[in-house]
Amino acid sequence: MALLGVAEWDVSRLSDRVKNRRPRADADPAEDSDLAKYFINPELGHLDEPCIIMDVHGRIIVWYLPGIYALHRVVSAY
Amino acid sequence: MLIYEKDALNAGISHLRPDLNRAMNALGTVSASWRNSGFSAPPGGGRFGVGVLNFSPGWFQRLHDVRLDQLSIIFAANLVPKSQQLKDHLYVSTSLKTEPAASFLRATASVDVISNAITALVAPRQYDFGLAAIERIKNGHHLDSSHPILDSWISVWSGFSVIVNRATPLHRDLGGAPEDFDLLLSSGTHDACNLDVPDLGATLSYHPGTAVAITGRVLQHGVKGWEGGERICQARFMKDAVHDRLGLPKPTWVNYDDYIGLTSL
Repeated sequence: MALLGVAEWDVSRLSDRVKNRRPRADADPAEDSDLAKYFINPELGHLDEPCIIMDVHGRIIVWYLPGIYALHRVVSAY
Repeated sequence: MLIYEKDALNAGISHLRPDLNRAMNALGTVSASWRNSGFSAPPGGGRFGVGVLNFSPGWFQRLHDVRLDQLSIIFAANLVPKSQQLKDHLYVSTSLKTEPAASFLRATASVDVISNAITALVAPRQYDFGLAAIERIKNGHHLDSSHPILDSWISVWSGFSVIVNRATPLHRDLGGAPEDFDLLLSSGTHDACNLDVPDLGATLSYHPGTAVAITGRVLQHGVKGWEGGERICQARFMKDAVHDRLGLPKPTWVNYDDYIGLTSL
């Protein structure tokens, strides 16, 4: 069970680098190649348990919360 | 009767189905953006139909705020809205000013409550600024014109998209600050689905009832498809330009260390 994933890059610097291009059905090789020079992505694989993912400086970039909208958390009645 | 929150969202979608259908029918008349492609209607239309709608209590008026069935008229008459400036008024989205939208908000109020609670925990500063923004929007001074539907808006988010039976290409979301999370709620009836995040080499199981808070301006994310049943995503977003317009700062990054002290209490 993964509770914590870590990317070995600085998310602030990644945000400075990423381009917000029109999405494509496939990956953008030019952008991917450019980013890969500076940012080596982790390989966290398939996740299906609650976890957080953070950058190299401990900044949280993903909260993964499977099943959180579930019956035992319901506080209202209809 | 107690119900699952994801089921509340599923039920709420029924109120929006006519508007979803109308939007989809109009897509054939205009050049659709990537956000309006990739739909896969189940045979017979299924339970939820297919389409995407965006809702906001206060944002800058843009072309995406125009009903899709009006787009061809607007283009023909050269009435495309001019570029917005930060001093301009905000607008209640057209999609929100309808009775189906009001019914949807009522049906999914408990989803909003849980979403607010999640936000307060995973991104406290963003929650604070989101709440302040909604309070300032509701006081009406920043709006072109107010609307009674604002009384039913209890979310701290700038808005949300409802996406029904659609595969979503990898993308980054433009509207938020890099430090902002988007809150994605997977719902529907599908058996299997993954949210791909290639910047992390990760695929997240995306069953109904799952929430993912993701820094969507920075991290690419998308859904190639799903197996069995129908897929719904409610994507909550914060608009950094709207917060700027309202005099609110950008949030800071959320740090793991901020939570370490909590576990030792």
